[in-house]
Amino acid sequence: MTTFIKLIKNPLGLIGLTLLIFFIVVGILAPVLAPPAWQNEPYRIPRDGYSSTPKPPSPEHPFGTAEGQYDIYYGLIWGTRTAWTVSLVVVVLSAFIGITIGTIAAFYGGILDEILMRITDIFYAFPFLVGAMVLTTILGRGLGNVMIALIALGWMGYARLIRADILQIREVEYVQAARAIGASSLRLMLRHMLPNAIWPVVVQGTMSMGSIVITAAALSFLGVGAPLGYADWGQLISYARNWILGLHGNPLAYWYVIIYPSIAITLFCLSWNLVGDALRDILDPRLRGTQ
Amino acid sequence: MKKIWLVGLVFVFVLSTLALGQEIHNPDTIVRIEYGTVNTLDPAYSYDTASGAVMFNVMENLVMWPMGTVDGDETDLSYSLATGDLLPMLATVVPTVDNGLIVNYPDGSVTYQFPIRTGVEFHAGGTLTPEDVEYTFERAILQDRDGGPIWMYIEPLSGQEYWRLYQVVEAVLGIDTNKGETIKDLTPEQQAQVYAAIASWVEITPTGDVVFTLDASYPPFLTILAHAAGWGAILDKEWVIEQGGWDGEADTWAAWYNPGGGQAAEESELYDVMNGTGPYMLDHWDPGIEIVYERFDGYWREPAAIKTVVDKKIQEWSDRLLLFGRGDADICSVDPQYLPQVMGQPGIVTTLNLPTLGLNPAGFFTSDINLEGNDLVGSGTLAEDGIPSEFFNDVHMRKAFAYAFEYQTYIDDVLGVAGGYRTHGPVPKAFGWAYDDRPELYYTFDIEKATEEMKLAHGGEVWDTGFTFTLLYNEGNQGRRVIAEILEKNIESMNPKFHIDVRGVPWASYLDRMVTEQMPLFVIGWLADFPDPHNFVVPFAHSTGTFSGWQGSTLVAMFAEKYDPLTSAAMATAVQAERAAIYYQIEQMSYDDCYDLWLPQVNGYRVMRDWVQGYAFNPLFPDVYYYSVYKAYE
Amino acid sequence: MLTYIIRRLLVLPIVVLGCIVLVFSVMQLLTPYQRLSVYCSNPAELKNVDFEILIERYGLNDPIYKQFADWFMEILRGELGWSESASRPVSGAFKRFMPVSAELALWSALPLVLGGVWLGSLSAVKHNKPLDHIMRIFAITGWSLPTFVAGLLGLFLFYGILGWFPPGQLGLEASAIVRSSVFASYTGIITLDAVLNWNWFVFADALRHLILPVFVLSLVSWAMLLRVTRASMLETLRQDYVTTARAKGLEERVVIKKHARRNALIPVVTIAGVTVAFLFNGLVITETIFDFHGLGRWAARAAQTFDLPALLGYLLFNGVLIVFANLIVDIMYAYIDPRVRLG
Repeated sequence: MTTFIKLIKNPLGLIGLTLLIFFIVVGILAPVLAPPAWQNEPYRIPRDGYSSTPKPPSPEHPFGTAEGQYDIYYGLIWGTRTAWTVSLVVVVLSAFIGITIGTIAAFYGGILDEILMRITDIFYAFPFLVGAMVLTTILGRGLGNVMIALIALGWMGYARLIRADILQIREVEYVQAARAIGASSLRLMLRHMLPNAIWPVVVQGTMSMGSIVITAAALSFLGVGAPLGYADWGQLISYARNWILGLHGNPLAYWYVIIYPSIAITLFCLSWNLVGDALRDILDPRLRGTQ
Repeated sequence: MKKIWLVGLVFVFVLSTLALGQEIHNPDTIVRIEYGTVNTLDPAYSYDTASGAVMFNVMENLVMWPMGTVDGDETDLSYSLATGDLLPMLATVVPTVDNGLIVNYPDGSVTYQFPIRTGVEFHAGGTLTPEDVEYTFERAILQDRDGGPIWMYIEPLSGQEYWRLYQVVEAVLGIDTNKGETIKDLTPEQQAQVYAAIASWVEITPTGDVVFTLDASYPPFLTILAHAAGWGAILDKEWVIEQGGWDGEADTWAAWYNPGGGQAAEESELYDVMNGTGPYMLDHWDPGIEIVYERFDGYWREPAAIKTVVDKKIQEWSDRLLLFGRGDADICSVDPQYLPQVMGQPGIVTTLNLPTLGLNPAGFFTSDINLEGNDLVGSGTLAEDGIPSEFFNDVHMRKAFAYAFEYQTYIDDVLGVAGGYRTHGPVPKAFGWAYDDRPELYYTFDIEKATEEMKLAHGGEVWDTGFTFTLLYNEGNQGRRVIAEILEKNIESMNPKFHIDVRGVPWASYLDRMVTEQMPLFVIGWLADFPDPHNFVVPFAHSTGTFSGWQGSTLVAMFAEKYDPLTSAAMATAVQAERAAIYYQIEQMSYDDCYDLWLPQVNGYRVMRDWVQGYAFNPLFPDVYYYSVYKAYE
Repeated sequence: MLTYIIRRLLVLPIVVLGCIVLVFSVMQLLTPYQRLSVYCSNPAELKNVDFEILIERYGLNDPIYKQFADWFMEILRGELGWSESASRPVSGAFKRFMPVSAELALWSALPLVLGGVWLGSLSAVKHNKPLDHIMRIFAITGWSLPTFVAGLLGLFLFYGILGWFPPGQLGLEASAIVRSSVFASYTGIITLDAVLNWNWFVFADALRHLILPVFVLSLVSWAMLLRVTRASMLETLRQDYVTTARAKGLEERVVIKKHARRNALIPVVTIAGVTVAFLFNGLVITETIFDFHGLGRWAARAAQTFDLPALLGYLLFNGVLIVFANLIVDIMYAYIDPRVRLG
């Protein structure tokens, strides 16, 4: 609770938190803000015709339409839900896997550590974008497969991070003191080491919330992300690819196709970054002492 | 040292900023930007348009087409696709019945005789001789790679008895070659036997002419050889042998048969080298990246105006647009939906509404859908949650879909500025003499009629039960997706129990499903190999057709029974009126049987800088013919 | 230390092998037709193709261990196979594309590291002052802006309007020079070769085409490096020994340079390893947008078209590269922070 209060007191952290709350609200209110055209497919962006040329903002389409006449406003609103789903699921699951593996490796050391780290190396050696592309091409487009690909290729960072932290902490006095008293190893791990080692991971996690959304956008750009016509910020941006240059004599003719989705992604990333930085300032035990 | 190149850098920047005027960039070079991969430089191997475009400029054929011109100042459509209008190229005279060079024999066989031009030089130094021509065709026939174009020679030359070399081998030797797999193991004696059988197809007369002997009449024969057909490009025999090709002997050819199994172009000795008689030489080929031509000053006609041609493959549309807009590219490939971005730009001219020759795309219904491992058909039974294998066996179901497609919406929204036209198959509209233009042969968008047909489908059961299936489209193509969505929208609007899901898959998966006949409806297209209805009727309406062959056993049986005989009959006579009558019959039957969804076709267009002149036009051409192009303001 | 390195190096082939087995297995999820599709992209060529025979020929129906063994044998013979998506042998594709990517990466590395680390330190020192906020916002915006947007907008402004930095690697003239016999291609890296050939026209032309893609490529990683450097600098600046140094009266600048920065580099080094990977991913989009024919773009096409030989070859290469990079990172890490035992 005190953490939360401290977060609010931090000015940039406050801004970040406000933005996040805004995105949460939009996500929750999506069915109200943008009623779906297909009841059982709310993530399918309604199309007003099939023409390729984007149309500027109008009363029916407050943010205009993208290539293929997809309503940008609808895509942004429901895309908020998509962004939350993808980033939360991917970050939580990959962090969980990474932390588990990293903690075990760091704590037990020896040959177990070696094996686990080599396995981590194998996954690391996988070129991320290409690997994600291969997986999604095989499994097919679809958010579930994108998430699988991102988790499968993203947990390693957490594993390494927590392992490095735990290795450092192992030497810290109070842990050695606890050992001297004779605390059991599991208890040691859970009660003393993990809670302290985990904060850099948490900070990293908040950074990832934003970067996952960006990576998913890159996958959409490469043609292997969410399915066409799915409400996803990355999809919306990739529609702009062939229209960025506008028309001759009017380079900003299709400004709305780029600007609106970009603002959404940028604000989402910005807010998580600000919150993450503020959290780090607050939660770092070494800083706590000096405040 | 640093300062020098820094100054140089600044100089280059300033210079380029200043060069915003309308002066002609690179007056001695043409830069063409497009996307499309050249697969091979071997004329007998090449079957894709991009490779054909290279042969088109670097090599030449026996005869050629009249061409029109499309450039900034004029649109001259005086091209022709009629056999009678062909012009001589490496032959000095085009064979006709009148000039006695085409002879019809009482036993049904036909000979075409070509006097060969003298004084024609190859780029690498040789001179054109009749032996070169004979060798070119014999080599092609004996290579006949899988998936290649040589069926187009074997079919007419064998009197339409065969279309693959291995069939000839099996007939001559009486053995089974497992579709040609064991030809590599033929003994020299066996090879000589086979050679003897085909040698009579192409021979040299005592007077030095090259004569083709067809065992039966094949009306479009000349069009298969004509310039624009990469596989008809003439090679220099001595040069090919130098490159490690077949030595021309009767008993050695099997080693060069079907290199790489037809899917490994690099196995051919002519994969990356080229030597022709054309106005341009191949200077440099960087596969997938660019191809550069240099003018051949020893050309047998007047040398070309432009010295260098650079053909760059650039996938990113925005890059092409920028280069084109600044004049650093002269001719640009533009997809129809992006035309608005080039039109109206100063310095760029766009010519619209040009004729095209193709049926791309078209929708194909699959009868007897393969249910094994098929996730597109739901439960696989006649119920609301799936479709049965015989879903499209019923003609009423197919007609319902034909009435449920919004043809005009597709033309307006997808084809946009380029515009399009309605057509019914399988004969393209471009063949005016064989195309029955009566309005009754077109399906119109009519939900009421669609509903009527739907209620008749499968004895009326479908209307009560409903159905669900997945319509796949090939990713990377927005137009294909729209086709699926239009059908989805209109079919679902008829009855709340009708459900269609639309899903995009990459080409690999699409091919897989097509070949295994899993898709209830698939969309693909065909571009002309040679300008004759026969080249379209077979892939679309023949039991052995490339596409019709995948339409399931019931439809294939229907083709075999009703259409195959007509197709053969249309080739058995050379009288155009007779052929036209037969094709009219086929078209009427196509309407009644409704085995395909005939989609609107896009109009042709050309986009180039205003200083580009002399751009040759003929809908059959694979790409730009650089010989006639020059850069000037007129 | 030496034993540690040797141990890690011995494990290297196992790691790379593991990677390859992973891809091979995933590829088995495809049907033989799907794996064939890379050879048949032209509908016209589908006529007269006997798929059964092709599947036989390429062994696509063989048991997976046989396919793997066959492929492995070929690799040992030095035969990496043919890449359909590159229209050339896999080894030829590496020869052609690697120098392009290397050139981009090398030119990006210096501005990237210097910029990121220097700006990050600056930001940390001016903690919570306006400069700090501005730089962080700039970093985050640059990072969250999709690469292709930055690239295309940059192209539009600097080429479409100003005509300064065209897409592609070289202009028409320079291209002709490089192809000709006058120019000797020693490395394939054009700027380097131009210097070796003492051809300043080509050098200037190549540089002109490099500026924009290098900037865009750095943009994303810049932000990351900046943040991490800043974060760890902040931590370090609060450490006791820094306070002591300050109390001793040492100049601020010296405090930063000698004490803070060195220790702040610990997580930066960790991130550097990740940045290498990041750079490679960034290459994919940058090369696509700017029409550079490099490894990233080839790998993306190979993934999209199921070009198995290309993917396996790329994986081999990438695996070796990343493992080495990680090894170096781990060693440096241990070197800088003696508390970390290389147990």
